[in-house]
Amino acid sequence: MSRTRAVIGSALLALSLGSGCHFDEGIVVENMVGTVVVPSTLLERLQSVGGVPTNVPEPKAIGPVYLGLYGGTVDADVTTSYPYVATGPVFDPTRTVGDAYPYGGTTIGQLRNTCLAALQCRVASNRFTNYDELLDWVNQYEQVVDLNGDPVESGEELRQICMGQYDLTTDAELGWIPPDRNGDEVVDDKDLDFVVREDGNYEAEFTLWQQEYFTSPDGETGFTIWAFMDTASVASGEFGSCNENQSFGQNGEAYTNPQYNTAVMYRDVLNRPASYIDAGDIVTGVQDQPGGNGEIGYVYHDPDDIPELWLNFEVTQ
Amino acid sequence: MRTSNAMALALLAVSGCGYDGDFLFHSPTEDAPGVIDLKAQSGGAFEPVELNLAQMTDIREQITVLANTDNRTPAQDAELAQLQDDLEALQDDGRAAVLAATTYAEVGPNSEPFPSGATFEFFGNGGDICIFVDPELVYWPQSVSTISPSAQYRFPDNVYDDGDIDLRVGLSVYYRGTPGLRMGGFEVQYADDLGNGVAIDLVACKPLNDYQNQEPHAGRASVEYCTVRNTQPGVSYTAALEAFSLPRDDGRLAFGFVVSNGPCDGATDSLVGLMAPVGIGNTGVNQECVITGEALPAKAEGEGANLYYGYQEGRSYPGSEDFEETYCSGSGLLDFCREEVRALRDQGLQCDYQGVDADPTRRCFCGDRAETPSPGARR
Repeated sequence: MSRTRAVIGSALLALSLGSGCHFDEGIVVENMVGTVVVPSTLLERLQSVGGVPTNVPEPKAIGPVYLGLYGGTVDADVTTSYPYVATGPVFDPTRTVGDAYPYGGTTIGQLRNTCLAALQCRVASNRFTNYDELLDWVNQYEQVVDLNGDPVESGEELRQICMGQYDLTTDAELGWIPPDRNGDEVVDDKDLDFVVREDGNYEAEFTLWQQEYFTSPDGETGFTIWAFMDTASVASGEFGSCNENQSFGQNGEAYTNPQYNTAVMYRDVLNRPASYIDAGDIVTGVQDQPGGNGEIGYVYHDPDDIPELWLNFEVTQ
Repeated sequence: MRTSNAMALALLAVSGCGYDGDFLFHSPTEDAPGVIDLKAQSGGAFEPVELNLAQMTDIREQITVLANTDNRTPAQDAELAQLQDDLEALQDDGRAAVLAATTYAEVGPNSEPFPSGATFEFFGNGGDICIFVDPELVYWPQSVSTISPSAQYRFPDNVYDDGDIDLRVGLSVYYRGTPGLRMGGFEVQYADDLGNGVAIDLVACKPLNDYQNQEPHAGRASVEYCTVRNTQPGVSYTAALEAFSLPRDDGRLAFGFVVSNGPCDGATDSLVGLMAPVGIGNTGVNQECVITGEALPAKAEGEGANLYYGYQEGRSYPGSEDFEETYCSGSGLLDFCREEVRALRDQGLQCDYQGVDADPTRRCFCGDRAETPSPGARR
């Protein structure tokens, strides 16, 4: 009997201690979601065939989009010739634009798994529905050849070469071709990162995973999300935010190739976007589209806000 | 009843727990302060020593031109020989100047949960200024490969006599430590557009590696140096030498440092390049011999802390400079260690981490071979 009482007593004690425990760190961390829109009017100018711009908007022409959370933004011609993020003081004599000190960020589309030299810095993930499309795209700029120098004849051959090179077994691991996201049992344009909307513009969803929410000291205003799209060079098809002198790693292992670097995004691309933005890229300008807030970027007022961010300012110089 | 007693006892035990972590910190040492602010012998800021590097470069260029001249005349041969002598003399002078300008000091435990270290001040002069620091003593990872061991490093190092100093230098106006009381960095607060503070590191020089200019720090006992480029004339700079770890044998970290005009490295005529002829080329190994004699024995009680200006033979632990020179030479370390063990054995002495036969005035510099780890991964 006394043993039973002791057990019950201990359980009650544990229950009372447990139920009384509550520790609020005061930190708001959430998966923050939203969409990015690329107007078809801008996209038309980005599509090129053999380096010659055409007027056919295609999602293939959408380069990696970098989204950052910043303290604020500034108008065009204040820091740069295009709307930009607020920056800190310039203390490095080799730079003309200060650091942006982002609170976080993400990308839509990645540069990854370069397995042949011609693909280096030319392929963003989830822009092609199959390997043939991807091969045709890169062949516009440079003939894709295998490690022996022989032309790669088909998308399937490219796929096999790349999977073999990295010991991968699925398309998801290679990461170039999207899965059947909408479940219609076919991988098509509707499964890409950017999908055409009814109004003809292209839209992609983003998620800032486990993002801590920051506000001004009075708690009234949150950080601002601002983005830019790195457009492939019309002449070379290469992305300016791609560091061809580095190789990416996975699970602690650097993937290297004896003939070239596999290339990765520059690691300070969110802190120093201006270093990688050049003519032809598209940045977030004044959100004056229907329903827009009239500000540069989107200023959060609640971590549950779901911004629609338009990439609507083409950098011309 | 027994259960109630047990619970009451447990509650009492928990509520009575006092924990301040004191035992984690070494007691302060009277004659080896935790944080020191060093002054030059003149009592003020340190003056960079002049090594005449530009003159050496100039002579070196003349030598190159003459050496590549076909059919030199006897007069040109004589000129070439004279230039080579001049260069050698300048190098000798430079090396002597470094030793004369080296300051030796020592820090001990801080007794607080903050790092130990030293600071000193110097003024910019418009040119590059090099700051070079060498903590005691030398360290190498033991080579345990059964297939292709590196003979030089087959004997273990005595790891107990080595400390680690991390070097950072910046404008004094940005230094956030309190010289002589607490070490600090060079971070200043910038309020972003949202009104939140962001720490900006305004350090003027720190050791950099080749990988995207990240800030590494040399490990145990290794030298650290960096060049402040284009210093602002007349403006005060602070060098912060933060003790990352103190030697485990005595908790006291002696070190030597020098401030010189011109770059630390990156050119043949630089502080490190100047020392290259001493050893086997400009390598991490012979950088240890830019400054020697930094293994300072503790002074007798009441004599104060170790602080010396300029190198003096015989000041450091007996044998420590031979040990450094052997290490820098790139060979002979195995023989040195074998000889050390043999000599001790012949005298019937034993070496442990606190000294030879627990005599703190004598040190052994090589480790205990019995502690050699087995090569390969263990399952």
